[in-house]
Amino acid sequence: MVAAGTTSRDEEKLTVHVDGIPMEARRGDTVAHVLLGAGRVGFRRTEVTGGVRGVFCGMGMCYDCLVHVRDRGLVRACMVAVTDGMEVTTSGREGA
Amino acid sequence: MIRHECDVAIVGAGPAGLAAAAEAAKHGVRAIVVDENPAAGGQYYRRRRGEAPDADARKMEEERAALLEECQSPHVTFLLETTVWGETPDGRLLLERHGRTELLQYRRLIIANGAYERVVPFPGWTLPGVMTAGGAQGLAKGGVFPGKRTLVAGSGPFLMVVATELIRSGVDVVAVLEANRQGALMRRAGLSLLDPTKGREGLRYWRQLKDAGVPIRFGHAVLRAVGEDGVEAAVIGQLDDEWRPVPGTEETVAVDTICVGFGFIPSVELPRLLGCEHEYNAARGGWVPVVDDNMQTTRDGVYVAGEVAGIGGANPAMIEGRLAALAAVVSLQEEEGRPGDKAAARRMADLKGQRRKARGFSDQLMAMFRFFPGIYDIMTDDTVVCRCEEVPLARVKGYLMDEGAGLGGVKVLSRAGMGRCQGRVCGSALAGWMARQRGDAAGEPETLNVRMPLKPVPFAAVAELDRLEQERRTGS
Repeated sequence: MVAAGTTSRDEEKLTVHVDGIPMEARRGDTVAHVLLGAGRVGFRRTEVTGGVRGVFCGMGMCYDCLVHVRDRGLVRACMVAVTDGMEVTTSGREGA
Repeated sequence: MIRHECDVAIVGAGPAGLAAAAEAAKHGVRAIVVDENPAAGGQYYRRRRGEAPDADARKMEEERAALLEECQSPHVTFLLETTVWGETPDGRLLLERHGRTELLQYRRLIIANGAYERVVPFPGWTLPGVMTAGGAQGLAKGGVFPGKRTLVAGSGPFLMVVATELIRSGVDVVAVLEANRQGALMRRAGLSLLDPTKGREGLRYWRQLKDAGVPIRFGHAVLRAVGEDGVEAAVIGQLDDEWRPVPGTEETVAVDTICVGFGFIPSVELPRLLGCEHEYNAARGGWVPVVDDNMQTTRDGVYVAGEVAGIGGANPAMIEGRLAALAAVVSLQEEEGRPGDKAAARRMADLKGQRRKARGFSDQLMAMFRFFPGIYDIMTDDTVVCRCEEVPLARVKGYLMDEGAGLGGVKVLSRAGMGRCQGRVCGSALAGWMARQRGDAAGEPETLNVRMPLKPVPFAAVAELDRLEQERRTGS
């Protein structure tokens, strides 16, 4: 990846599937942007107690915001840029 | 396995790393800039979503664009979404990108990978809606701050910066809570307030907070977060001069988010792994690499620049990035037997002067904001100290008191510090709390050991090392 940051291309609209629900996103968004933008504040359940977590540090340091991305595995939502058609599965489905 | 090669490898694409790349580009050396994030800019130049809301924000966007423009060169390559996780026996950096290992061979290395927030655990801090001050700023810039009514708490000049950004985003910032008492801050301020640029900047933030009707409550802290599925309220209280909570001063404030930060800790895991010597510098955030005045560490050919070299903000970071790059370039020229570059020598002397001034100011500013371990009294037995492994303080207490273990021993026995963040979040609090319990004189705190991988990598990435080892053995 060579491009360090562009302008017009970043407004390109994409579709990201979160827990099976298609959501609108823009190029340059991280998965965290999409989740928070959709009101999913607590989207992860911890392995030990099942406690709910969301974004804590927002910079890839705390590993709270883990989500599963198809073909990528478990990743930090705040560090992964969305691609068109990306399939995201969270562990802390609200109400589930 | 993808193998990269360059003259100067730069780890981190924030202000320091970009400044280094820009300088390297000027001199035609091949530079590769590695960053975990999907975009360059680091935390300071984190991309803003939408129009810049005011003149300050616009200026920052212009600075960012100008710096990136300087880095647009056939000599500079960016490897984004790429994590540095270790070093091979023959001195190549181990990188991970999308689950695969890549190698990076370099002649000189500039580590500019910044810092992370110092946090203090408190009851309820794992509730969704509690985030670091830096995290809050990033989300606000991205237009997705997950709350409408918030508190910004902790200590340090950064809290005002974050509060200002939140106000810009239309968030109701109920108050900024600074643990230091105002009198203590003023007493320690000294000459730093005389610097016209910084003094103006500080006053501007103050003014914005005042205009927005946001009170700054000195000598106060968040004691606990309350809520079911997320933050619903914060209990705040007064602190004494040693930052111990004052009984009977608790107030409950209805908020849906809490943004906390107690300054920054240099991310020195990589220079430590590479064997660089470190020294303790409290004003600069703790353990920092020992450097000469060219920003070279005690390991030949390895330089540091920016927050990783000591907390000081974007200004010293960019100066040090350029200085380190220039020093690396000159060193490469010497290695190649090329004649001395007088212009480069003059520029280096100039940058050293700028650095002394910039670091002098930031050191003074940071010295105002002392950190007192009395704050650890806000933790209760039930408080989850290690977020990753969900270790309550009670479990850590047991090992400290009964077994007399040091930080490493407590980690092994309690699992605190063993999770994915590798102790970045809980390490400072664990070490600080333990030192206080033992009655250690304030001094150099213990740190957790550093070993590869520096960040979690998928097993497949590690398994690829097998091939490298085979190559080494068979000489192919």
